[in-house]
Amino acid sequence: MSAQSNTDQKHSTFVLFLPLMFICLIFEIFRLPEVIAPYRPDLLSLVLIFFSVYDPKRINLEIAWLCGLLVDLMSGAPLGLNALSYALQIYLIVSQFRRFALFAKWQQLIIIGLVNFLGQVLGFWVGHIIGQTVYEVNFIGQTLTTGALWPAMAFFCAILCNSFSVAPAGEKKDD
Amino acid sequence: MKKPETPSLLINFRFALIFALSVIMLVADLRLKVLSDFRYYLESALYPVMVFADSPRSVSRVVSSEFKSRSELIEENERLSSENYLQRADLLRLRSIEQENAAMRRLLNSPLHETSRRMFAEVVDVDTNPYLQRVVVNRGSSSNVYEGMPVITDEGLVGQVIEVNHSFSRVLLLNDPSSSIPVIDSRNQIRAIVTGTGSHDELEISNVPRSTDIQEGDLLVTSGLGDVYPEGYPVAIVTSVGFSETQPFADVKAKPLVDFDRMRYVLMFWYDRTLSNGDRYVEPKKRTDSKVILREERIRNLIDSMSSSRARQTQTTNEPASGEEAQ
Repeated sequence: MSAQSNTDQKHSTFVLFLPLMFICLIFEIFRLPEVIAPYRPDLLSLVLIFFSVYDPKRINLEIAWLCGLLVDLMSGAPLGLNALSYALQIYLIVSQFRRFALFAKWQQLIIIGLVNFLGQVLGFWVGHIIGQTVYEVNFIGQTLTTGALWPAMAFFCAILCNSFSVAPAGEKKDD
Repeated sequence: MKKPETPSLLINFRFALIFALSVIMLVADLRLKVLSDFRYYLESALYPVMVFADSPRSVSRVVSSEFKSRSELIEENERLSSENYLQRADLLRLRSIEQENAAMRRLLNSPLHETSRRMFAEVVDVDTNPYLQRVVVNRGSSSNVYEGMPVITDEGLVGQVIEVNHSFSRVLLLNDPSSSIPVIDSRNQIRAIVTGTGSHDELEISNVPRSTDIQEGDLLVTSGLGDVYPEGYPVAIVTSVGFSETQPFADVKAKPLVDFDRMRYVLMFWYDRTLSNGDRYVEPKKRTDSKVILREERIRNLIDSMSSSRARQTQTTNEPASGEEAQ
C-alpha cells in the first residue's frame, strides 16, 4: 500500500465494496444442500468487518445497518433484525478493538468468531422475543465457519484492494 | 496516539440511535404492520435477485436432465405411462365415489364442500435462516394467491401462505415452530394439534393426555377445524409415543410425510369455507318432516320465552339501581 500511496489515481472503497456486498448478499440467500446449510459462513459480515477496519470513514455502522436491511428484505425476516445484528458486529469491532488491524491473524480469528457469535445471539434473541425462533443445537456452526474463513477472506480482500488500487478515505492527511 | 481516533462517545451514540431505529422498525413491521406496503413493493422488486440466486441449482437441474441417456428416457416414459394408466383407472372410481359421497351427505343434511381450483407452483427459494422454516414459491397476488392459502404436494400437506407479494409468496412449512395444525388420527378420529419443532423431520403433538390412544405408525390427517386447511389431507406419521410419570402429558412425536428438503413443486388451492355462491357450496337438504319442524318450533319458542324472561329480570334488577343513581 505504501508504494501506491503517492499515486493520485485512487478509487473509493465503494468501487470494491459494492460488488463484493452484492455477491455476499446473493450468497446469503443461495440455496445450499441441507447437510451444510447450518454451516453457511456469514460472508457479508466478514466483508463488512474487513472494510470497516480498512476504511472506517466510508464503511461505517450505518452502511452495515443498510446491508442488514437488504438481507432482511431478501430473506423475508422482520425489518431490522439482521440490520441490528450486523450493526452490532461492526460496532463491537470499531469501538472495542481499535487496534484490530495490528493483531495477529489467529487473534483476529478468535475475535471475529466471538463478535459474529454475539451478533448471532442478538439476532436469535430478538427473533425469540418476537416469537419466531426456537433454540437449536447447530447454533454455533455458522460462527465456527465464519471465524475459520476470516484469514482467507482478509487475504482475498487485501489482494483485491491492492489490484484495484483502492485506498481508504483520509489517508492523504497522514502524509 | 497521534492519530485522532474515532471518538468512542460518538460511536456509542450512533449505535444507540441505530439500535432504537431498529427496534422502532421491528415494532412497526411486526405489530403495527405499517411497512407492509413498503415491503410488498421492495420485495417484489427484489424477486429477480432471488431467481438469480436460484440459477445455479436450476442450471444444474437442466444440465442433468439434458444428459439422460435414451434408454433411461424410454424406461422412465414406460414407468410414467403405466403409472398414468393406473391412476386414470383410479380416477374413474374416484369420480363415482365423489358423487356418491355428495348424494349421501345431502341425505344426511350435512353441507358439502368442494375444492376444485388448484394451482401449480414452483419452489424458488428456501429461507436461509436456520430458525425459520419457510420457502418461497413463484406465485403471488398476480395469480390471486391469498394469505392463509393451504399448500400441498402429492405426498401430503406442506403448510400455508403467510406473505404474499406481486409475483411470489412465502409459505410457512408445517415444521416451523410457529405453525400448528389441527389434525385427527385417521385410525380412531382423536383430535390433536401438531406443532413444528424447527427440525425438518420432526413434529410434536402437544397436550395429549397419557391415556390417549395414539400409537406409533398412526396417520394424522387434517381435521378441517380452524378453517385454514381443508379436511382429510395427510400430514404426518406418528414415530414415537413416550410416557413419563413426571409429565402430565404424553410425549408424542411425528414425522411429516413431505420431504421438505427435496420439495420442488407444490400445489396451492383455494379453500374458503364461508364461500356460499353457486355450485361450489351445496346447501343441505331442508327438513320437511312436519314432526321435526314442530319440535324445532317448540324449542325456538322455549328459547325465546327464556331469553325474554331473563331480559325482563335484568331490566327489573337494573331499574332500582338506576333509580338510586337518579336520586
